[in-house]
Amino acid sequence: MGGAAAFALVQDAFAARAADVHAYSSTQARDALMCRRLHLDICGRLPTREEVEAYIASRVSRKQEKLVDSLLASKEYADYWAMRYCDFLRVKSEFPINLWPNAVYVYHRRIRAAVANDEPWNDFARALLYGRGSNFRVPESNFLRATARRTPEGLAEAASISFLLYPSENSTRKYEEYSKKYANYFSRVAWKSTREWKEELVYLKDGPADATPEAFMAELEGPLSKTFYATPVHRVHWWLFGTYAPTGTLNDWMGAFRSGGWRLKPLLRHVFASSAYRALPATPGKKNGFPARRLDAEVLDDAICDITGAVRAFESIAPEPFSFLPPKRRSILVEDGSITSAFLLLFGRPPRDSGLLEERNNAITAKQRLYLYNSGKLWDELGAMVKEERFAKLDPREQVKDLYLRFLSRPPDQAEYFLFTKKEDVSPRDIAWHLLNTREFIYRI
Amino acid sequence: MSTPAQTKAVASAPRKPAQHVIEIWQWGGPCQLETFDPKPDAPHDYNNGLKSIKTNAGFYVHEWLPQLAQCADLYSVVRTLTHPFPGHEKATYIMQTGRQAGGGVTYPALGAIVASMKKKDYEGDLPPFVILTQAKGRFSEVGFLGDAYAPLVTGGDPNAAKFIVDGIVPPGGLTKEQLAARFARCERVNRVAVDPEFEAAGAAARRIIEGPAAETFDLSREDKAMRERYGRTRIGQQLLAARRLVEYGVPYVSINYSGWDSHKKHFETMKRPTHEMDQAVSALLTDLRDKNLLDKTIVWMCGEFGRVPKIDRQAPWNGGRNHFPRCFSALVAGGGFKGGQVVGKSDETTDNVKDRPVTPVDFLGSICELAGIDPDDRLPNPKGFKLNVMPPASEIGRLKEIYA
Repeated sequence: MGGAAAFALVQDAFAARAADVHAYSSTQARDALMCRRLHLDICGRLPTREEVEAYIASRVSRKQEKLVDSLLASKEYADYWAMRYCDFLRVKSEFPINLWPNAVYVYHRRIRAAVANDEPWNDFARALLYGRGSNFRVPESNFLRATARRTPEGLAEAASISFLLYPSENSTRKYEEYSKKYANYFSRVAWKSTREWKEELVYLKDGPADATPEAFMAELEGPLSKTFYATPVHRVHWWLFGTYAPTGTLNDWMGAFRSGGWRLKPLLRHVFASSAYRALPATPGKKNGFPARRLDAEVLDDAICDITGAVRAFESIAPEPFSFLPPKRRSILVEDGSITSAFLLLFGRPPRDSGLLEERNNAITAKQRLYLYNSGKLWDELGAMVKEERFAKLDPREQVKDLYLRFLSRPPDQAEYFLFTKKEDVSPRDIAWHLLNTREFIYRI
Repeated sequence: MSTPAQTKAVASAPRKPAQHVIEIWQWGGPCQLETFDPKPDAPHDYNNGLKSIKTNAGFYVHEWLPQLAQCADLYSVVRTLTHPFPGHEKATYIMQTGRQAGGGVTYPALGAIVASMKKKDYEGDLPPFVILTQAKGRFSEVGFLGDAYAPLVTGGDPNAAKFIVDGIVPPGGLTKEQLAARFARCERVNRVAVDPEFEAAGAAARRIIEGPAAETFDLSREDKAMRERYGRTRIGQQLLAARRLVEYGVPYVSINYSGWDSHKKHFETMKRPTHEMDQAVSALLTDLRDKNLLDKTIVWMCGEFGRVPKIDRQAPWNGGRNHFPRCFSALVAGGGFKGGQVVGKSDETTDNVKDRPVTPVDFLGSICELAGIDPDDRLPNPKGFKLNVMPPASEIGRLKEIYA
């Protein structure tokens, strides 16, 4: 076959991909897809090359369930889902929440422990609403500090956003209503400073016995229980599928959540085993199929670091005391919403000002694509990656394979091998650049 | 020659609002005494024995500003900016947004406001708000306006051999052809279905990379004399880049100009940067005038506050000046601001405002007003907040006395 004919064949192969079914016709391709999807959704990271290859090769029965179990038991699950919890609990040291650094760290540790131990939702909410005392010594007391408005209305709004998710695009108005309706429960909450710098005690002033956060908790478990228990379910649906749970799904998932004792992991096991979760990627604009999501800012940042070997240094020189996070800190582990980077800002990390889910912006923008196309920093990181000894000594075909497994968590197909090893003279660094700029890499599909 | 009747008609026609704003943000807070409010007659502990010079408009500036003294007809000086916040963050916040920090809403900075209100008149590929070269720290510059008005932060160094704008100028010195081949190949390395949103973002990015927008940042297109005129300094070349961005059409350009936080050894450290500023800003103003751009471009320059008038001779400051928000200065020019004027009067040391205090709200509101944005009008926003562009002006009011 001549070059031109071969090229036409390759073009056809690419054209055929318009139909996704074609790209996922093999078990191997579907396994790779699920392996990547589960790692991203449960641990907020890409699977390593070894993990993908082992998963594809594995012949054990119920291997997907086993993967889900092992990922849910991992440290990284707690890291990643704690980040999500910290988003709606507004964990940040600076304006407008002003928890201050020491308090941020103890509060984050407490939240992460709740995720790691799979604390039941009602127990966790109770612990937060009952928290009194020092912001440095009683982590839970920070819940009643983590609001932009330190008024009964402000606290009622913050508590409603955290515990009473209102599934609507126009939730702001609903929360205005809640902030007035439940303000009385927070009317006695007060704060005083101590002689320790930036320490603050949360306590209750004198007042009527039914005007307490405890009474609000009773309301959550009583008349408001339907919304209260649906809240984590909607959040999980939002995080995984990008929308609030439709009624049918809500009822189904609520069953799993209830029978699991209001713990998240049994709910997640149920979700990950569902046919909706195992569906092939959706075609944009069409209803069927699994919806793609642009990787969270933190996850994308970590993915680039994992692939290229780059490291990030996070620090904050305002407010005092200054914070310097240990080197090589993963972005999803940056506890403080006030500590950020140009990258995280660019890719829509939530400011944690309100705790609304909509604060996280996973939309793709021209500025983001400019960065991925052309950032000098990224280009340097790709350069360092291909110079790495283990990679540099591979033969060209193996290099292509390695890059595909690193970026896209799957081996290349024949057309892709052809494109990058035969047809054109493209350097490994350039191949990496191409993969970095694919929707397949930038999105969880 | 126009007849008197024609002149009158022109004069009474409503002024066209400014189309562009260049903000020169002196991060850290420059000293009012060594810039636009010199006090040569104050005790030595205030002026360190330094003098002032008379400008071509008749008022005086510090002796470190000889070039700005020669073109004072092009700008006016506000000597009585005042607010209560001595910390960088809260001070920056109020000087950038017109709002006090706190209260649960993160407000947009002036750049994002102007970008959002002027975007309808702007057709360029570059975002309507560009920052040279680093973002202003942690405060979100967009606030509740959302990503659409987030600034493009250039990174890079305009004074380097090549101004590498992160994201726009491809690293590795690719030619246009190599770039085109890359993008073409990129289209084919795509297993998953095409997503219109992803493609649109990519197409917008490629228009910037491959089109005239990228050339805006290519300062080598300016002749050598012009580059020298601004000064071969970082600030000089940043202001030259700012002028090119205005020519391209960008509504709001902000220069994040750090280096003014002179707690220690103020006089030893500030002389050179002040000279660089003098050259760069006077070059910008005269260049904008020469190119007939000054009329439609507002230039404003100040920091988040000024500096304590009395020099702190104690260790560890050793002749330094700390933060001082009670009375400090700013420069405004073009776009409907008169030149050659002085607003407000400080006392004999600049410790206090003596006459006509100017609040941040009145100051920023004036810029909005001249840019054709009514500060008392609603600020449309994706969150549905019912808020005006700026809080209400003070009783003393906006800077109407220097509106042309």
